Amino acid sequence: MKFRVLFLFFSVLSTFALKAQHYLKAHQNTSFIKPDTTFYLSEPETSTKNTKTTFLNSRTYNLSYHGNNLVNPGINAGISFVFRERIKIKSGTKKNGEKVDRSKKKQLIANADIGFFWQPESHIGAFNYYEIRLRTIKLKNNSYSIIGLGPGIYRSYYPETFEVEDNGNIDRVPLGGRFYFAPVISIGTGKFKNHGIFHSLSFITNLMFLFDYNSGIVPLLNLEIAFGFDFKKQKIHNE
Amino acid sequence: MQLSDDFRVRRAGADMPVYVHGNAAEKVFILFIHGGPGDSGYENRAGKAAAGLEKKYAMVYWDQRGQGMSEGKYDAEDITIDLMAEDVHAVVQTLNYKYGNDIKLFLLGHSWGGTLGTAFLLKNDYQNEIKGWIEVDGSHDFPKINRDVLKKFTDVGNEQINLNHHKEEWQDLVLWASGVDTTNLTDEMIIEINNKSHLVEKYLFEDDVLQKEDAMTLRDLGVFYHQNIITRIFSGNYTFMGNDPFFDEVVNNSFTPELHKIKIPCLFLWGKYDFVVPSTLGYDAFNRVSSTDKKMIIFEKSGHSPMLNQASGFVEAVTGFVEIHK
Repeated sequence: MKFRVLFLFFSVLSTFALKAQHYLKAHQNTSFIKPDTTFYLSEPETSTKNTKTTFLNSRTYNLSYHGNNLVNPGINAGISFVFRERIKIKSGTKKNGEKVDRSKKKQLIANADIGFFWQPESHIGAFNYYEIRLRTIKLKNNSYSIIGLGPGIYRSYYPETFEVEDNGNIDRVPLGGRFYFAPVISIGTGKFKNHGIFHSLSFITNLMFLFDYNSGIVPLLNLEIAFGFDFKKQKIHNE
Repeated sequence: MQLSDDFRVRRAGADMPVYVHGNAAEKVFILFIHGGPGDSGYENRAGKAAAGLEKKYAMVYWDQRGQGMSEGKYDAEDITIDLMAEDVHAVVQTLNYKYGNDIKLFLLGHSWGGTLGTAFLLKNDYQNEIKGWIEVDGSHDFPKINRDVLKKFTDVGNEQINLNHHKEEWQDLVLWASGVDTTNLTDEMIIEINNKSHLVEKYLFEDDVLQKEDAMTLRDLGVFYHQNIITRIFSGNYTFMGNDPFFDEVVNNSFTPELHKIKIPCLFLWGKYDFVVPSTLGYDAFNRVSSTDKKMIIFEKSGHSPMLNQASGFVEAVTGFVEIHK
């Protein structure tokens, strides 16, 4: 049962990454968004452009409030690398003459996070996860949505722990706690600031699944309020 | 000496949290064995009864294996009542190790905690490590529960119909209860009986037959803040409702033939209108234990949890018992 679940998870993960790659490749010269003939007075102008980036020029960092169940406080630090992106420029004019910009940028991001949270009177949970994220940016206002999936590990740290053996011996356990395989699914939204070190603000909900927790799988629901930093101060869309 | 400790007891693949709060000046500890299976020990810290008892004694709230905030790794099929009785013993041993062998320890088991506490007392000579046993609406015989609940639906149902209390609902329930074949109860039927037992307490609250629970305080909110409700629900479900072997063991379990082996002082506290574990179980246990010092108290305006319905009376009853036997 456990192997089937793991197999299913990795199948979904690999399918997700491959589909995203194939989709970007297949649509290199086609329109993402179907022209809306009632919406536009003029035929919208569309064009697409795929870019590959290097780790060094697309690296950003984030520091987050990590709230397990919203209220169990924690901190999360991460690094992101955009390894593939596709820009679709689409603009037109409404009947009333108003200019409309529906241009979007889709990015595939490799993301790594490390952090911890505190469940009062119970434990501290430390985690490290790696995701492939798909970020869709509306270039008009620099807002974006994120969906991500990836594997991770989780370690709980208890307060004082005593191990009782069958013969009645009791020993203190240093740094008591447990390791779990902890894959993550994330979904979120955010907005870029176009210049400066402070790069973006994101609200991300993530579900972390702890394998094997007692005799099953237990989800942890987390909310991240993430502040993104770009020390190279790159513009978000100046192509 | 006020205690506010939390630690874990690791045994047989489970890491079980233990929370100790209250006055340990006289070294009196009361280990609360929670209900379910599938609930949480720490949640029982909410309410005036727990607050009242903590003023006098050190209350020990323990999340059982696979419940509350307990962690671990083991196969669901390995969970048995006997394994969990040994878990109780591990907690008792750890309390002695941490706070000294001179502590005066009482067990208080509520609902399923009454079953588990009874299993512990009947095993080896473990009862000699305890000063007294307080059973609150607990069960030593699950098949008897189902038979007695159906009879109670009819008896109390007719009484409430005559009083014009939720007349239609009670009429439906009495009719339903009369049609149940108690000799051949399926798991689904057992769950339905239990669900209806909780439901009728709602009717009784609305008709002022039961005393309303006290409003939640900031202290209570703090208690619930310390629990991860999602973890608790998933974990508890794996342990009991989704674990057929353990579910079957529990719902077919009866300690009735062995109750005479219990010889330590016993206090049985029951809500008159408990449909989940009817007071007939309490009287049965009271009559069967061999203890020379035993007492049964019925709370006239309570259901399955008299510590919530009649908190001050509950504290008074427990304190009276502990003061005699500490």
